Amino acid sequence: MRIAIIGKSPINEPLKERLLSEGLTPVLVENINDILGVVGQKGDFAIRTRYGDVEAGYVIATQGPELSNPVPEVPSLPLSGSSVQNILDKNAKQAVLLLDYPDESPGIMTEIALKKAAELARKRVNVVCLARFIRTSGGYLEQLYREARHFNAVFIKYSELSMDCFENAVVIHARINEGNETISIKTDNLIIAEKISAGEDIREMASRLRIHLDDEGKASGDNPFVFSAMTNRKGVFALHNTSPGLTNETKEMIDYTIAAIKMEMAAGKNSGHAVVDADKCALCYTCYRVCTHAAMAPDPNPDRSAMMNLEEACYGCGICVSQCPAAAVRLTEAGMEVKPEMAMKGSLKIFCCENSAKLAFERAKPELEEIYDKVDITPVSCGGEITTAGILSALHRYRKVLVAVCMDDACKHLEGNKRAKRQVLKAQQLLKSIAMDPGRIEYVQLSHAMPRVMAETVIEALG
Amino acid sequence: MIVAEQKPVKEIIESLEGFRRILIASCGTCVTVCMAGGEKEAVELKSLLDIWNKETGTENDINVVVPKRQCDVEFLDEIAVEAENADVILSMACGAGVQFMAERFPAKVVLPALNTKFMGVTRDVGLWTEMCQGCGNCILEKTGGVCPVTRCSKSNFNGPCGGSSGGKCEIDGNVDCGWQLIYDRLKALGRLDRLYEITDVRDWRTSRDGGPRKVEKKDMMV
Amino acid sequence: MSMSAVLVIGGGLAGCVTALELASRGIGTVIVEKDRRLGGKVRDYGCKAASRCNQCGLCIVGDLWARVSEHSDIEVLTESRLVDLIGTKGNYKAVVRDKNGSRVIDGISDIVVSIGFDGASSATSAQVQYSGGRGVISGLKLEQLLAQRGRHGIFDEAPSRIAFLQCFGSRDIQEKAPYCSRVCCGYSTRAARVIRHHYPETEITFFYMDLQEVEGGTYFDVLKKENIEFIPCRPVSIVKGSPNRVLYEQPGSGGRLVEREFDLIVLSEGIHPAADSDRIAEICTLGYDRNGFLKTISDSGKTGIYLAGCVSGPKKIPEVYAESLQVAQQIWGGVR
Repeated sequence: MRIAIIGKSPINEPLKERLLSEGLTPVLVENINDILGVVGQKGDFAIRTRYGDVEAGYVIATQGPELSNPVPEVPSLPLSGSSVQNILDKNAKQAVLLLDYPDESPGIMTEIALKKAAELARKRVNVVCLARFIRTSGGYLEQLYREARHFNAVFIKYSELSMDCFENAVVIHARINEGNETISIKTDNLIIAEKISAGEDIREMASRLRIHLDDEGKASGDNPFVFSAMTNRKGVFALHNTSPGLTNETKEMIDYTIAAIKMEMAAGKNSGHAVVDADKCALCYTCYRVCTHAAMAPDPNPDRSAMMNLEEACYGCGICVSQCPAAAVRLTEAGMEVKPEMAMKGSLKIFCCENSAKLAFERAKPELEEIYDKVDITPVSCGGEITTAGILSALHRYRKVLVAVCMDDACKHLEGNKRAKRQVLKAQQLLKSIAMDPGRIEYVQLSHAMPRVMAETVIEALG
Repeated sequence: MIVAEQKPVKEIIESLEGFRRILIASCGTCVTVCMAGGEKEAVELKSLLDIWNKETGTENDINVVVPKRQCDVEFLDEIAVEAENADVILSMACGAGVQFMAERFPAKVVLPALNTKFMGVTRDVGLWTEMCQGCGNCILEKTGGVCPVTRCSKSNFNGPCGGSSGGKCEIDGNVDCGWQLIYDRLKALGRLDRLYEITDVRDWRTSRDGGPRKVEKKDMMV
Repeated sequence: MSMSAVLVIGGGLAGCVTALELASRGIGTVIVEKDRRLGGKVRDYGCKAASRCNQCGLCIVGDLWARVSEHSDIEVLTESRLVDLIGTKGNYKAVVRDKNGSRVIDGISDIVVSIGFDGASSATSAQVQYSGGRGVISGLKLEQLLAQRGRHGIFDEAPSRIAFLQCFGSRDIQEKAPYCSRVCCGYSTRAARVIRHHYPETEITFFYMDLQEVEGGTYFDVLKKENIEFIPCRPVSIVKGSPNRVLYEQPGSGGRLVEREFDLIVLSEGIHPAADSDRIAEICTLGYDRNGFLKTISDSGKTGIYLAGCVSGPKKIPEVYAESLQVAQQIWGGVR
């Protein structure tokens, strides 16, 4: 099985080795500027490059982040570079490490600083480490901190800091002790923790790979259902593109990625997915654009001029179904259907996301015993399945409709909850335009761990 | 494609007053892509009308048909039976479709559900902008692929007016000055010399000012 | 059991995720759980969303416990404990005891040890008491309050002054926990943001040592902008009462002792090795790392004994989840 490694990073080599040792075939595409796009689905990707297609079953994006000097006007060495060797070569007697300036440094910088402080201190260099926080939440870091201090490295916590330069020397003024004291340190061996940011390269790569990045350039950062090296595309992994090198955390991520690839390889066929009716499809590309999992593509079959669902990429969230202007897409396992409601119970119809609201409702059942008969639930696989037409159709039969979906930034499919909100707003607007009460449609966002919120919302909706 | 927008619902409901058997006909081509009159909108409209009817106690019989287009008669033939059984047809097509529907079913009242706007392109999901006004005499060759008839608010033919500022048109700070776009494009292509050719006063008879136009392809007509 | 199965010791997050992943591959699992129900600590945790999700990772859990209970290839033995283990990889026998007596489970191919952790406050003499919005509570108790919250609040009666005591039972040689517990800065600051969201007037004060990385860049400043006060010190003592009193050295004052009153004190307790660790280590032939957590002595691939979850050290929810999937994959890969 071919695994494509896309991007330039110091972890490419160790990653290649691991893949080979697991019986997988790594294929390297280092220059992301050569890449035009990645099409296909898990098990069957084609990386379109200027020089032709590269085929792979899975893709691992490793383009490293941009490390930049946060204070370029001051002479210094970068922390994650070979600063230790530089200091030792100079026969320097003193070095100052600076973290968290001007913004908090990520935990990885503390790890690097502790290692280097210990190493320099062991070699009889006077080390002073200035930081706003000493981040020791990795397993052995607390011990490393003690070790560095054992070798007489000095750690000072500051709250504010400024610097002056004199030729090659830097004078640092730091407010310490809760601002009650200011100390000044002069050094010509200043080592500064770099700023780590997702450079243009990473954003470019993400856009060509159609993967979603958060503000810091992490692929999984802002979605609680997507974690470690996963991305919004099945079979595409983003491996630690926010760290300057190989650390314990990176090694764990590599382990996880390989385990995840093996699990995906062994996973059965996807059961719930979307299906396109080629006769109705207008090839407007709306589904292609709104699908957060890159699971829609034009059908290569020349007899069908239509879009097609990539089953192995699809999560069955239903966003394409609700957004398709031609009503040309359906789900094999649909929750939401627009039809005159058959005789069902109660006066309140609840459309609830099965990742959050439905679970909260189930947990709240004991509190809802009495009103249980007055309520009718339609679970959907994601808020993305919900349509204005479906809400209006329900109002024909029920007195009120409650739409309950996941919190902002908590949607498994990134945007399903936002789409649901738009559909609700549109339905309310249409009601207003015919002089009817938009309050007949209610909307709530919550997580599965909020049963009381769900209970209170339902009871209030029943009035 | 042709870009249109749905009329306010109130207006549609008022125009349907008094009719009992209503046929809503969506259109599966342009207005589907610009999300104004496709099957999705038709079903949504029907759902809303059903609620309205229930609330007002109106007795209505609403059906939906989804012809692929309303500008080729065969698609209209396909819905002939449903049209026959309706008192009014609400066409969700562009103006061409509505009129064609009315021609095809002269005994039926055919009402428009949309306001047809322009020929344009999809900029983003949910956003369409005007690109062509069908002037009948395309000069995009001279203007680097940017149309001065459409993109210039005054349809100037020989450069911007005095209201062009910072690349924007004086009518609205969000509207690009068409001639700035033309200049930038020709410059990037190394064809600024085209701008030295003065364009003569335009004969607008090729446009709608000459009356309703037709196109005939003789090689297709036997 | 006649077919080869995997024994999972501990039915918390790690145990359940591993079991479910194995079961979905058709590998039978037996979960031995000492409590009356599955879920361990995580089951009581609350959502930390304020106006938007705060990425605490709880959503990954979803309806995990129900799916495990209902799965046909998973047998759950509650109120049961592992008493002995005999055999080798591919061929283990386990002795399990519940309130009705002991039984032997045959034909075990691999074992997953996922006994989780104990909160620091259970190991110390600090008694946890709570009433309305008052008292001294552990982080776990705060989680439970968050889980039961309604639309308009968390407490029956809003406390006007809340103190969070960070690193409770962590980074502390005297408490035999000379390590950072990794999760407390995350859960407590997120919980504080939920409290701030519902109670704009309540004073929230953190007594802290460092702020571990929770989110990037400017998290500390974000918290301060939400009017959360940070005092960098560990209190000398807490006096429980109405209100509670916290005695501490005012930082930067050269040792001056200061006392402040708080209606509610939250002990941001760390992760300590599970009380059962010693017993399980002996039965399963496991060792200890320098912080007292369990570790394997020989390669799991050879012994067939795997560790998953916080039994081997502090981990965040998504990390436990990822690790458990990996363990399942290793076992499943080996079986195949």
